[in-house]
Amino acid sequence: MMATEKALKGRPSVHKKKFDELGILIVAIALFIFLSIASPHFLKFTNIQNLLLQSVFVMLVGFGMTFVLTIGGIDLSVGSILGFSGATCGLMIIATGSAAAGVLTGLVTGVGFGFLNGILITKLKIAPFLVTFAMNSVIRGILLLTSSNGSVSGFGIDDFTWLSQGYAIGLPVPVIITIIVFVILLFLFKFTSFGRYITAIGSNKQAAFLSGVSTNRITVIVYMLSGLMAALSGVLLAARMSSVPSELGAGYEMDAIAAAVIGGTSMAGGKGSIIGAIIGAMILGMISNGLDLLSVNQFYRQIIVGIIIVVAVALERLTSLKSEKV
Amino acid sequence: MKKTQLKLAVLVVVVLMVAVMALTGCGNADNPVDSTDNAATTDAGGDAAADTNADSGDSAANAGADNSGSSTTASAGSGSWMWGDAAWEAAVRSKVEGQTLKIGFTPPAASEFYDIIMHGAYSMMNELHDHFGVNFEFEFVAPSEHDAVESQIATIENWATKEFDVVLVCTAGDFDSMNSVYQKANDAGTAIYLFNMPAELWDENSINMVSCISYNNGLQAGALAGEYAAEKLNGEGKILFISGNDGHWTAARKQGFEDTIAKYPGLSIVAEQRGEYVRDKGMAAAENMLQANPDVNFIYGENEEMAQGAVQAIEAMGLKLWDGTEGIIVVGADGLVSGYEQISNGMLTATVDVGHVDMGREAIRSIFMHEMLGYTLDKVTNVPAILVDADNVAIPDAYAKWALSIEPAFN
Amino acid sequence: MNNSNTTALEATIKKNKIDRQLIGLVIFVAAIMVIMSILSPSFLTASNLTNVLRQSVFIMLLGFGMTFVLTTGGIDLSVGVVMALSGGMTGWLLSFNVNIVPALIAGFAMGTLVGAGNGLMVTKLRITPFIATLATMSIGRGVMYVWTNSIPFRNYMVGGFRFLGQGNVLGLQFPIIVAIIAFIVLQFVFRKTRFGRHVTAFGSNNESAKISGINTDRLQIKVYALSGFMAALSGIILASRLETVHPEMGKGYELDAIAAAIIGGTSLTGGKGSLIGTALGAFIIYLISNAINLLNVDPDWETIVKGILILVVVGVEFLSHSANKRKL
Repeated sequence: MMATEKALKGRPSVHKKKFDELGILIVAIALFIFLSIASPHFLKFTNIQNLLLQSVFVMLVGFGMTFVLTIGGIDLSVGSILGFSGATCGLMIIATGSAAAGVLTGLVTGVGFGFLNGILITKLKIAPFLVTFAMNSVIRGILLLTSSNGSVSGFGIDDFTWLSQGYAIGLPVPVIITIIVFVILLFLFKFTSFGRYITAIGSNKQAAFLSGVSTNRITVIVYMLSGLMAALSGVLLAARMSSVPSELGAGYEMDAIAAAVIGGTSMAGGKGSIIGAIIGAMILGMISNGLDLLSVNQFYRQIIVGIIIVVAVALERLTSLKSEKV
Repeated sequence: MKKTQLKLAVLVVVVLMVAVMALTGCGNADNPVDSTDNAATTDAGGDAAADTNADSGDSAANAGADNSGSSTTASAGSGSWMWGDAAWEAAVRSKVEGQTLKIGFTPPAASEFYDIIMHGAYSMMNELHDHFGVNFEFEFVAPSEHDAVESQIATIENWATKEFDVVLVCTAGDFDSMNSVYQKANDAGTAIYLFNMPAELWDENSINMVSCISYNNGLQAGALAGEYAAEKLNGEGKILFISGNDGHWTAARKQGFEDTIAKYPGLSIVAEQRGEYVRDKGMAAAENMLQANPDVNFIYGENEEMAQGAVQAIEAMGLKLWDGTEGIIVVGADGLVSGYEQISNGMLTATVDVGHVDMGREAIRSIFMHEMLGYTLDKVTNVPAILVDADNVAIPDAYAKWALSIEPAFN
Repeated sequence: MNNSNTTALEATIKKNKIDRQLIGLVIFVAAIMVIMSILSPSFLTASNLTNVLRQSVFIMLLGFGMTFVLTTGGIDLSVGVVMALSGGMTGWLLSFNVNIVPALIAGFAMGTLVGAGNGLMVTKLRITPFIATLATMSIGRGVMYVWTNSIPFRNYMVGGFRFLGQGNVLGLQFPIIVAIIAFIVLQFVFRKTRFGRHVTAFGSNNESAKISGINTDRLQIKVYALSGFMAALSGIILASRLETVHPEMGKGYELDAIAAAIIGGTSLTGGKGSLIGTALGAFIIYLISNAINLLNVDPDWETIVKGILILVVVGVEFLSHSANKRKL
């Protein structure tokens, strides 16, 4: 245990820096101010509600992805897990009529696939990219088989749709759920030994292993967590749409990775930020919300999204380099 | 330290503003009409039909709104609706002149097919604008992925926030998955119209929309292709089926096709693979299936891109394409100009024109009639569709090309 | 000096590992061949196998470039869109009756420049390769839409251009010949030139590569430019084969190319790459689809089986690896 602590102290800790997300926060605020000035609709209460609601689905997946990236892995299967968990949740509701049973089934599905990912990665020693890439197509295939006519639907009972269509204290319910999840994960990431181990494994797996961290167990847990987050997002999306199209979640892995990396999480592992993931997802959300509000020509949208991502990440790099020098 | 941060913040703001403004400036859909657009309209109008007669009725009243002074669009003279009656036009004009309808148009993808529908919509908006002085604001947003249904949901929410009058939706998501956002839009005062959706698969009365302007995917696309197979093959033959992505269009077309084939015991589908609605995947699927079944008579691709991939696969493998009496028949669906060209060249045997131009025109006409004049609408309006082969390709080809030549000039 | 010795040692160890993986892949291909030839009479025919080979050429060419990028520890998600941009550039120029030679040069220049742009973002702006190339992918796709106005480029098939994607030489399809030549040239570059050695050295250990005097920035820019060039080659041939350039052309090819490279034993963390493996990996991906199609498996199953088989392919490597360990 002593050795562990020593190893952990030996590397530059990300937690000790004052406020790592400053650069990206400035970008987010600038974007917010710009949109408030540019569009009369942006600051409307309903629009802010919508903006938050539209961002949380990627945000949740981004939280899980932040853990995975920090440990030095990657999870390309989140999109399919998201879709399939939504579908199992829906099927369970159809079968039992109980929203709770459905939600539970959905979440368990996600954790189960995350566990499978983790086991394949640690026991068979296959690269995470490849495992999750293959699992992505396996799970999507199962979902395609499950959904006749291209979707699973007919589970829109009020208890369940409230999860995404309801409001509490003026905020959409998914936003409140996301805030709670955020607080839990932030605590987990910053203040527990689990969080420290994750960063340690991501920085130097060998050293972490030698200093007694049970790397395999933690890796499996991280992929389970990622599966859980994807499943939560999937269940909420299922509640939002009262239906699960067979391609639900396709492409979410890229958005989630982008949200995490814009937020300062390193693809190489060892450095991650949950707050950054929130800011990253909000930036992506504001971009697409703003493009709609500003009536930007369809064809220029993807160009603008790409440019803003480059600018945001480059600025983040710039500030983090500066603060390293200080 | 403080100073650098301040500098940085200023830099960020400047860069973002320049980037976004520069690009939004290039493509503001609110004001699609600028001088170049008008020039294009004049050209198109001049090419298609010199319709000075249509000018006489409305040019005076119109002068304020339409400062270009150019002639009206090509279609106005074609008499496709109840144009031309002065008393009726004056009656309508007195009710709607100077009013503006804000319409959002969100197809599941930006593609040639939806581009034709959109131009069909332009044509009707231009005509309504010319004849009645009603203005339109028209915005177009498609998700970056065909199946990104939740991104379309977000767009509809955002448009409701912007107080649009009408949103025209076509989506890969089924009706169930969209119904709650339709309700949300209705609550905000935005009416939902659907287009190009297989309404036959759902209970249309449960959908929170005003009307669905579409065609029947099963009967008007799948079944037409099936009948064509039966007719050309005299009820005997082997068929390969290239399907699109799973979803309601694929399911409806497939069902229509299979149900029709089932009526002819001599016809059988010997293999089916997915081509994901794109040419290279369709080509690969056709190549692989042809390896196992080189003796097929007929290939049905659920859209033209895949069917054209199949044509190229047949050619590359040295097999014979249909020449009117023998060879492999390849049939697609949708009715793209590129598909019509391939039919004229004798490559693609046939396709189904699903009435894309008319869907665009009918959708706008229905919106105008209901939202501005108060007429009631049926829940589902199906436009005419037609099977197109070398014998009749000239007609739909000319129609689609006419639609594509139209540029927006409606506010 | 010490440093380069250890890198060399590491390289040999990694090379042995790759060789084992290659054996695993060959065993896998052989197994599929045997099983399939029993199940389907049309599988083990020359025409079917060249058919599979031709289908896999596009991913293979992308995979060759990707192997270099992955070996430096980077990733290039923009190759799919670069295919569309380059194929589009060539097709667009040809449709204006531009001579085929400048049209091809423009297509290659397009790809190489976009690739070099990726390299610049990675080195000068210090943006993670994943995000830099993801942004390029998004921008490039947008450019394709603006450029084509969502209506595919077509009517550019002049005689010489058709040959690139559809011609035959000595009974082999021209795209296959291009892939073979590209393989030979790149294999030489990868194994026998200083550039190739630097790529591996840099991927194994960035710091020591820098210390030993390699201009790492320029090296990375070259690698991304090479990947862009290969994507351009693939895109131009695909434009010739499809006779149309759709704004969505090449979508999703990047992940297949990465999968091909990784199946072939290239490591995502850098320092280890194999072009033979990549070629085999691309071939296997299409062999699996071909086998599934020939057996007329329900297309819904295709995605599942494909995913499982990828895991099995790599699992074979792991099993042979642990068997060897036991022997030691």
